[in-house]
Amino acid sequence: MSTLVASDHDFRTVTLEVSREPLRTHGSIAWRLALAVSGSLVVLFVVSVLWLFTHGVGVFGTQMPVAWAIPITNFVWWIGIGHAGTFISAFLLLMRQSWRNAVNRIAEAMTLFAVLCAGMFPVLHLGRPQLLYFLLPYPNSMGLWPQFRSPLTWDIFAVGTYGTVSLLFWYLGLVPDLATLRDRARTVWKRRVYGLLALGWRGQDRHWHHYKIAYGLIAGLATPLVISVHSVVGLDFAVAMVPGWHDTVVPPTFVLGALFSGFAMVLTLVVPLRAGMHLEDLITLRHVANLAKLLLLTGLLVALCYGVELFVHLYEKDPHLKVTGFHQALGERAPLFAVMVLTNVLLPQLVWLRRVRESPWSLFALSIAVNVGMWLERYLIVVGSLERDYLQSSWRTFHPTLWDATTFLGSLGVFAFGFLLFARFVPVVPMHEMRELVDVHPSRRARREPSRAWTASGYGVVAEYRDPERVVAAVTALHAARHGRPEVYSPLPIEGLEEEQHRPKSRIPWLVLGGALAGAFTGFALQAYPNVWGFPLDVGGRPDFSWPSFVPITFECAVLFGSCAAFFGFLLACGLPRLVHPIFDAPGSEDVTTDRILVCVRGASPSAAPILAEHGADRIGGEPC
Amino acid sequence: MVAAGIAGAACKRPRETIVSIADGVQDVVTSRVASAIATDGYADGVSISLRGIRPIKIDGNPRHPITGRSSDPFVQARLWDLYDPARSEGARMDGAQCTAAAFAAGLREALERSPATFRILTGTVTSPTLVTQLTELERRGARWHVWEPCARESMFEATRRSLGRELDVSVSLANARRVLALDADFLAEGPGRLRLCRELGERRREIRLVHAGPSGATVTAIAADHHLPMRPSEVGRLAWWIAGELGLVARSAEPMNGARAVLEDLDVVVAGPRQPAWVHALALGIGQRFGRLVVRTPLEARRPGLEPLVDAMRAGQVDTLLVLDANPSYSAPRALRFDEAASNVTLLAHVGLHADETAGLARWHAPLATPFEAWSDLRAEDGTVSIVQPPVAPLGDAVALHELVGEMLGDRRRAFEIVRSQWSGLDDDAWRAALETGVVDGTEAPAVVLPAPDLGWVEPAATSSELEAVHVADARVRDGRFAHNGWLLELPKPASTTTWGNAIRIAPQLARRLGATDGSMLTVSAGDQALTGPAWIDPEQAEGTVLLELGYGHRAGSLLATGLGYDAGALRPGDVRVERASGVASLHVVQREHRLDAVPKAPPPIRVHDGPVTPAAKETPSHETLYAGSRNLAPIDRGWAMVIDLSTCIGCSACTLACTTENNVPVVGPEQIDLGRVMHWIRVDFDRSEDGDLHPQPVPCMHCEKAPCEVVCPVNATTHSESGLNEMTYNRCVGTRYCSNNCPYKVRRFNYLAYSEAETARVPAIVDQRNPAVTVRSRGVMEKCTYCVQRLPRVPGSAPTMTACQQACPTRAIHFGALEDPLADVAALRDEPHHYELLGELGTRPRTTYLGRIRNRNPGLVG
Repeated sequence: MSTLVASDHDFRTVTLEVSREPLRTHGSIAWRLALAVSGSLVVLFVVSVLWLFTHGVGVFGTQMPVAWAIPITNFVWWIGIGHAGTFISAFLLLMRQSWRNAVNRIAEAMTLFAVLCAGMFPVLHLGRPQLLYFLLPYPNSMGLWPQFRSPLTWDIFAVGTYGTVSLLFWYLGLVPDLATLRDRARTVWKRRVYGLLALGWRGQDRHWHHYKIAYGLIAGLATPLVISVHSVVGLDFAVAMVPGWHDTVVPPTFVLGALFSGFAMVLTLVVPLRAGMHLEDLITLRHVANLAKLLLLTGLLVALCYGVELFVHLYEKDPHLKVTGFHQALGERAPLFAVMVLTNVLLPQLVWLRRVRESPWSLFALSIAVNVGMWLERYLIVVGSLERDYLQSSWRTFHPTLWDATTFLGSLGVFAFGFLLFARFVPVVPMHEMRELVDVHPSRRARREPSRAWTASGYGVVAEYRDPERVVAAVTALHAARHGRPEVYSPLPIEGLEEEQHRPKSRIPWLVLGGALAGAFTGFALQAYPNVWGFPLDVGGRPDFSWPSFVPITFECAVLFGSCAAFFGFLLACGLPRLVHPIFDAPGSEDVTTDRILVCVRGASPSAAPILAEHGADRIGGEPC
Repeated sequence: MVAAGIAGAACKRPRETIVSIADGVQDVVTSRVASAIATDGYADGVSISLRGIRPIKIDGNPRHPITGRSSDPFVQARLWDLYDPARSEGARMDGAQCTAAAFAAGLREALERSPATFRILTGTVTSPTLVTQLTELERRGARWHVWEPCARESMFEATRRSLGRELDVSVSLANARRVLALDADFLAEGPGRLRLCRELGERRREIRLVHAGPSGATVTAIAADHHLPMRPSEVGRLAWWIAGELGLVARSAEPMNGARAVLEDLDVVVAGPRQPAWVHALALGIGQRFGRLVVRTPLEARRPGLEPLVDAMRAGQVDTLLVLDANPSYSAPRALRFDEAASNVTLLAHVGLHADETAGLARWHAPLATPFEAWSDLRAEDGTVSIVQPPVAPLGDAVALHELVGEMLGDRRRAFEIVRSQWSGLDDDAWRAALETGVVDGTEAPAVVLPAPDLGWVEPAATSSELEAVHVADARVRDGRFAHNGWLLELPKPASTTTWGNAIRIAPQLARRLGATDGSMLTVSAGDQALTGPAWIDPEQAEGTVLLELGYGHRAGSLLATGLGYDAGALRPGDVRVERASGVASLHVVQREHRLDAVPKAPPPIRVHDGPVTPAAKETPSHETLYAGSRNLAPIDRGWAMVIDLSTCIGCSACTLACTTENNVPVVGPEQIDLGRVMHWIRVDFDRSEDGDLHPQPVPCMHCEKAPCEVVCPVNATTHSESGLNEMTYNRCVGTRYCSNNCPYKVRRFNYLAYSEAETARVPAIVDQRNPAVTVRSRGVMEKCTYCVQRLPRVPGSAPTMTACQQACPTRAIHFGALEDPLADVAALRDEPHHYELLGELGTRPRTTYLGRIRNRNPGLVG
């Protein structure tokens, strides 16, 4: 098994390799070409949407009985793709799978753009998209609220929460890297923009402490969120009584299918990206093979679901289900079904072969096939079921229109366009997490001369280190000499440091718990109040207090509030954003986000300097020891 | 133009007073006027609903002895004529615009110049006033010809030859038990169709209806307990055999298996207009034996037909031909070569609703006023006269027929005065009563006693063994007279549910031989004549027949009609060859799958019973729930309910059209139909059971107590009312269409495009027809049947009420009312043993329910 990072890397080389692209003045020719292609698809998308808005949703092929078709298929497909990102990032973090560090940023970015594309389609397919806000719970003069028993209302909360939490999670992980770019940027504008976005992150030990807690907590919340969101999307179908939709196996099938298609899309993105950006020694063959194995695993689970579904359809005595199952698998839709089985069940079995597993471009081809197959799967479920409803007199075959195709192609363009901007301006690999995987700890390269002298202005005594172990020893010694808690600024969390710093327990977990409970309460009250007291309506004869229907939104609100509490709790605990800080004036502070460690003893404390020097500081107060 | 006309000229009441129906419902805004409209020349007594002065709806006039409250699609759709944007707009003489007065003066001049060469051609005329006027013209030397494309000439010929004089023969089903329709669609065509529908509906279970004819796709064939597919010529053999068995003619060999079963208890025989005179004579003989015939002296003006006219034209004996409300250039048999003969006529003048083919041929043309614009009078099937009351003044330059003819006679009076003087025998009170009731008292024609007809001349014609082309009047546009009518064009035809055009209807055997499927293009040829059109395969069509639907392929007239379908008239009926042509055309089909057993082992959507149903057969679906706190778990014994009796439903689609006009349902056009976006709130499904029989089933919203649509709407746009209605709040709807997906009945309709706006753009005046009590739905909004909520009182059962579909239904198959209302019959019908809920096993607890179809089958004819 190859290693996760090529062995000749150190903090600095990892940083340089990843930050090269964002700090370039001009993008490469290939990048510009790709941007132009995806940009023209964005134009196609805009044209399609304008056409749609001027003519009405009838420009799509939707009809009666197939009132949901391509836009909803696209929605489910995109939201599915959006699931692997957060799953890879959060779930594998919790599982301590350190190989995730190289690909999680890519996966998360993919999630964000996929959720963006996914979120557009339900709006585009509305008859009156301008009234989308009717689905939002806002106080209005009529006292009318959304209908909280409808899975579409659950969708609003689920997808909204998922998009928000994914963004927070992605951004939180990005903050230390943005600080690196701020410190390494050569132009004023880049420094300012990255500086603003980095919120004044200075790699202080306090920052890292709260960062790890908050990041872990959001990961913990995001993992069940991933499951819940696609379950809710599955419930859009399972709750309806359409034969072929009304099935308890639908939500798990959707979750697994989502992960399957998400892993496929990660492969689709990672393989050309690592080649195009020459990241082969950071995103190694082992990463690619691991992704392929996940693809195989989820593929097998999806195949199991297909088997269960087919079995249920054909074995179940409900004749309507039989007819729908037959229609989708063996009847009019059999060709699509056959392609789907080939791409989703048979082709992934090739991953069992090492040759395939370690050939990125074969996996790329496979991932494209799976992407196509998963789209077909959603098409078969959405359209294939509606085509064969209860009354045979309503049966009708669906035919897509040109605008169905252009809108979908356009959304691919929107996705690609966003992703290309991401790849160009954001570090595609988390540098701070990669540093944790580097074998050679201190930077081999000697430090260049400081550009200016340290003017302490009475802030403290600053010592510069290369070796984290020496820092731990120095901090221990400083504590022993009762110098108080020194501030440590580092490019990565230093192992063993926190034990020596004797910091009071972080209150972020309590904040998150409080937030989640408040969210759950708010979510539940939001649904119970209008239904029971505010504006009870007879909706399908259901009880006013339909608590089982209120569960999904309650859960989503808990996750949303909890995650926000984690993020803002992190900012509060770190005192961020704070764009100006005396330590930024310290010589060598610009390298803190790359490969140097600063230890600062606050105040004018003459006895601290010898202790720092004793423990192997390279420089103290800007002067070499 | 027409819209402007409505806004300007029409918004004045004519000075002549119209009288509205005094039944307590009218106010300043809403009123109803009793009137009549002519269908094939005969009166259908109608009541026109007005908002202000705008006619917005037509229904049957409950006080009319023939029509009653009911109607059919042809009655319901007639308001389109008034608002039709394709209406001819101005009179012209030799291409130059002129006034109606100049037009009439010109005709008068032509008449006076040479009365002997002045001829008039009309359709069937029953109007006493017009008969008086035209007779006066005849007295001055003009000749009057009457010609109707699908007329009842065979019947008149049969009576002439068998009884020595022409008589109008109709049947009564009032006491009938066994009815045999010989190639007759008496429930959908003819002056007595609405009466016959009512009589059938009233006693449906006592009547066994057998239909013998080439088409299984007519209303009568669908309504029948047995349909016997038969070439038209074989129908004659059957009649001959029956007459032989009754000792009226020489006995012959049994023409088919089970013929004896047809004979069993037979008491009514109806021969269709397509059948030759000798079959009508046999029907007359058989009918006379059973005494169910009603015979009257003809109520329509009997005059020489088209053939003598064309002969005279060809011989140069016609200088002036005035065509009144007829279109011979399109619908005359091609063999007559009317257009060619017309070139011999110095002055061809045409008066009609549209600038149609004959108008194109004519030197002079004048637009005709509709029955909503001009006073007239009409006779119904039984002779009863109704005064045609116009709620609006003529739009544009439309000409009132009586004024035009009056002008030619030198009579300058207005139509009102002409009609009033025709009925000068009525004093003012009697006149007022006639206007208010819609019926002139005592005008019913007495029945004459029918002597035994002489059948000596009857000789059965040989049956053809070749492929036989048969002209059939289209189920929607008839002989083409309604081809401009968007409502009718979009109304799915019986059995096939095709719209917007005609098909070449063939039997399955021929389809197999040709390898044709629905929509395959076929060429039908005879000699050097040929026509091409799409095939539609009728599983119940008689082998060896090719049915050509008349009324399409217009060359001029309305934008909707022009170029739509093929012109069946291009080929004369008789032996033909059929070949596959290249290509496939859309038939604009609404219902694709008809097989009731398409979902094997599921309870079929239509329950069919042969013979009586025992109370034990009653279906009581269990309505268990895990949701203990659910509302609406109590038995459905309050609020609104609808019960549709499938035994009496004949599949005429009057309900669909009535709903369309009542509820502002837009016409969407053939492209949208192909996309599956028909907007009808109540559809009629035609489902075929395993034995091949076709069963119609109207499907409106079920107003489920546990409505699946409501639960999935994210914005509370569809909710439940206290009286059990499943309500749509249009302005709350954002158009997710989730409700439609979750509706197992698929009765919801979605405005995928701006259909109402598009309709208004094409038919601007239709805004004046729109019912102001019903919201016009915008783009992106879901809609569906509301049980005509605008007609309902707030408290169920507190006032008598009828939904539009129920009111229109000619057989009274639709029952509606409040379950707590002792006067409504719905509660009792829900206890009938053959009562069932459609898809009741899903637990939706529908308020619209059905009575299963009980067929009165003859075991001898089964299998």
